[in-house]
Amino acid sequence: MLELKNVSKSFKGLTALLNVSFEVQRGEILGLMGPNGAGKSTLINLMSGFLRPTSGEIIWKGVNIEKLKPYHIVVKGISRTFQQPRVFLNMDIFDNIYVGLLPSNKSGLFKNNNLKERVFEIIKKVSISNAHSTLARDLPHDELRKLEIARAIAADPELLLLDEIVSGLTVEESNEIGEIIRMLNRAGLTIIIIEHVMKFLMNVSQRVVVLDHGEKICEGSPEEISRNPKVLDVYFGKGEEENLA
Amino acid sequence: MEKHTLAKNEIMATGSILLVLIYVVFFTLFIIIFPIICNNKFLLHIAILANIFALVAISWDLLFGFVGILNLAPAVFYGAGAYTVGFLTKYCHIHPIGGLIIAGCVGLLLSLLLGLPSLRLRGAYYAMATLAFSAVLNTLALGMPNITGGEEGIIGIPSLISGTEWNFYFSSYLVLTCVLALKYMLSTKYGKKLTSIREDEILSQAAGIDTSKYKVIASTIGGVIAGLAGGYSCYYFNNVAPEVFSIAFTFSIITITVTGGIGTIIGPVIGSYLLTFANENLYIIGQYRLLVYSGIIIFVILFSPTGIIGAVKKLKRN
Amino acid sequence: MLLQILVSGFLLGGIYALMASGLSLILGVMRIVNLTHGLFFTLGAYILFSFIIGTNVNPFIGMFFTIIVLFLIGSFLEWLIIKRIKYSEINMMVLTLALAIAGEEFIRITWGPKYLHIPPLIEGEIRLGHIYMPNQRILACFIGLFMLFLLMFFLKKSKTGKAIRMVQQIPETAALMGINVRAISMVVFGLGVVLAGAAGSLWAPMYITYPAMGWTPLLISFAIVILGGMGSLGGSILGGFLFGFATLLTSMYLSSGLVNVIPFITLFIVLLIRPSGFFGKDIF
Repeated sequence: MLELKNVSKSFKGLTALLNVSFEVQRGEILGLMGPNGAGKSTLINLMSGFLRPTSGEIIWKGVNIEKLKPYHIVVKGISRTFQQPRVFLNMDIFDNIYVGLLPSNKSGLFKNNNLKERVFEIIKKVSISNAHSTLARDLPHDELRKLEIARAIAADPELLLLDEIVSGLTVEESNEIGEIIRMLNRAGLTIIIIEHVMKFLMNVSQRVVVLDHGEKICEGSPEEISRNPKVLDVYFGKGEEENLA
Repeated sequence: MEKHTLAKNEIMATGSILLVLIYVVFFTLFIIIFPIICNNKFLLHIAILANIFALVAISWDLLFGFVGILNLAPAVFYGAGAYTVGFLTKYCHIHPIGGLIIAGCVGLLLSLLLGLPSLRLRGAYYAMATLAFSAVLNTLALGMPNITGGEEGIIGIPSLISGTEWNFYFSSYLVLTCVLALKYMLSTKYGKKLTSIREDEILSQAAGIDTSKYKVIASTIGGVIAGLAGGYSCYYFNNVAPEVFSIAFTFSIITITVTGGIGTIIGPVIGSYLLTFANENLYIIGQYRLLVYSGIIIFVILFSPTGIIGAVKKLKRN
Repeated sequence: MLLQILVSGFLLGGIYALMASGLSLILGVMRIVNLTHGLFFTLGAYILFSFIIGTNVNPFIGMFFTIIVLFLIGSFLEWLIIKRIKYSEINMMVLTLALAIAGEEFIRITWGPKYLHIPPLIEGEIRLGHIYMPNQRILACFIGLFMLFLLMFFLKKSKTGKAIRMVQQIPETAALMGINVRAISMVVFGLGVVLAGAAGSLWAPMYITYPAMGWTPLLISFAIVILGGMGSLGGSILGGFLFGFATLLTSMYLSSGLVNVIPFITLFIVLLIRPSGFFGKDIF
């Protein structure tokens, strides 16, 4: 569904990504992992149109999208969140989701076409407990993250890119997010998760791609990855002590 | 990082039909009663001035307060509208209504011309470009006396409407329509997308909003309003002169908007009335007008960037 | 004829370069769009005027004191007001615009709205063949170049100068390295203001002095800075000379009223085609 072919990105002599290639199948949950500076966020920025690759192609449903503007990519069906929690702080929950609504109903996530009802549907789906008129700036961290997801799926995407969505959350809150992700996936949404929190990523992903220093070093199922010596080397060799299992 | 405007439930408030009705009733009463109470042509004249400034201020605020683009040349659209009416009347003897409409169109065209570069240029560059543009127009207006009448400008333009009272009604009606139309627009999905661009442009792009398109549309609406205001002003003052392109005018508009409250629709109107009346009534400060204006802006920016409306809203919240 | 234009253009360019560097310095190091630039240009002229007329002192000493006064005013302004709005580029523009207008009114009140004539520091002229160079212009250009040279020397060699360059290039880390960024900001703003005012005081004897004289230099300085690359001192200096030539060339063919339109149109075009100018971001 989404294919990256030899994607490279350099910034003024500093190479962030080198010849990264992989595919994302429809309906899967793909995990993207790697230590700090591996190029994960650069990759998301490339996929969502905020950056252009120095070379290589990004193909979405058969069409090259690497040169498109961010909003255009959203219209084409790819939505994203940001590493630092990012919502419209001075708007309430309702409006945050409302402005992200696009007219079409592509992936069947929504039962009805009435915009207002769609917003409430999304709020329920993502289990936001605060009242819809609450200002985003008054929300606690976990609700904020849910709002981010809500805003992202308001555009009715076919592919959702989640950039470190559980950073800053407790284990329980992360589990809740994990449940939401699985539920969305069961409803037909393809999801790419970028994460630092290994446990979470391994639990939720069906397949994993590992990056280091801008290159893909391996991909496979979570079990395969956690046994792969190259991966272990990257993490333990650098002194990182995350538990992969 | 604090954004330059904190207008919050502006969006929530405008959704209410009740509020709209209150506005309409209040303004209609005001418009009708005001001339009766102030049986004073001079005061009505000041109010008309305030209305004209309010229109330009609203158009400027649309770009600055709502989309976040600093345009240092509201004078461009206003002045162009005024000179358009001047040229058309002097050389083509056009019917006043036609002149007004064309003034609006000129505003539209110019706003497209100036609006497109705004997409490519960062804030500071763009502001300087607009400043330069208005300086160019100012120089041209002064430097081509054969066409523009030079320093004196074009005089002898007949009025659109005769009589101070009727002009007051007309200009107030323009302001009212403008305010209502914009408030309605802001309560729609389009309006919310516009404010989301101001809130966080990158996030709105990630939400699927074509920010360039919205910026251009906002800029165009502003241009039309300012152009209309300029055209009307030419009819009302019966002349147009290069002062319309001056920095002083631009600065007055900025002061009005910043004082009343950026990012609101009613703010510029309040600011305009406040400052125009203060300016005309307090003769003591007449000579020091710009000094006082600049003092106000400095004070407001340092202590309450959201102006009067913003301060009122903050008080209401607490 | 052409030679005269080249020479005159060069002499004018010296002042333009001086003027533009002030803007460029503040822009490059503090990332502030300083709309009071024109005000200080004007103020420089007026303060010099007061020194010369009021105290009968040698004009050169008058200039020296003008510079000191300007530096003090500039640093003080930075400390009092400018530093509070660092967070918002747009508010900063509105604020400096307001300050510029307030300042202009202040000048109008203090010195009166009428045109003033500041006597040239040196009378007379030099003639080389067909080329005619008023002494004041030669002096202005060379003082300008001298000050620029001092500035470059200061920035390259002195401790404060190095600190300034570090703040420009690595703003976040500079503070961590123990540099007093607050003090540097005040110094930089003061310096920028001095450069503007010096240009103004050199310019004024050659033309007339009036309260609103700063706006055109402001716009010209911006055009130069943008052409040369925002924040590049070298670029602004070069751009200043280019502009000097261009101005004189166009004055041959256009009426004086329209001459100033050309820099603005150039600015507009440059902004459209290549907003980053020709030199980019480094201060040298």
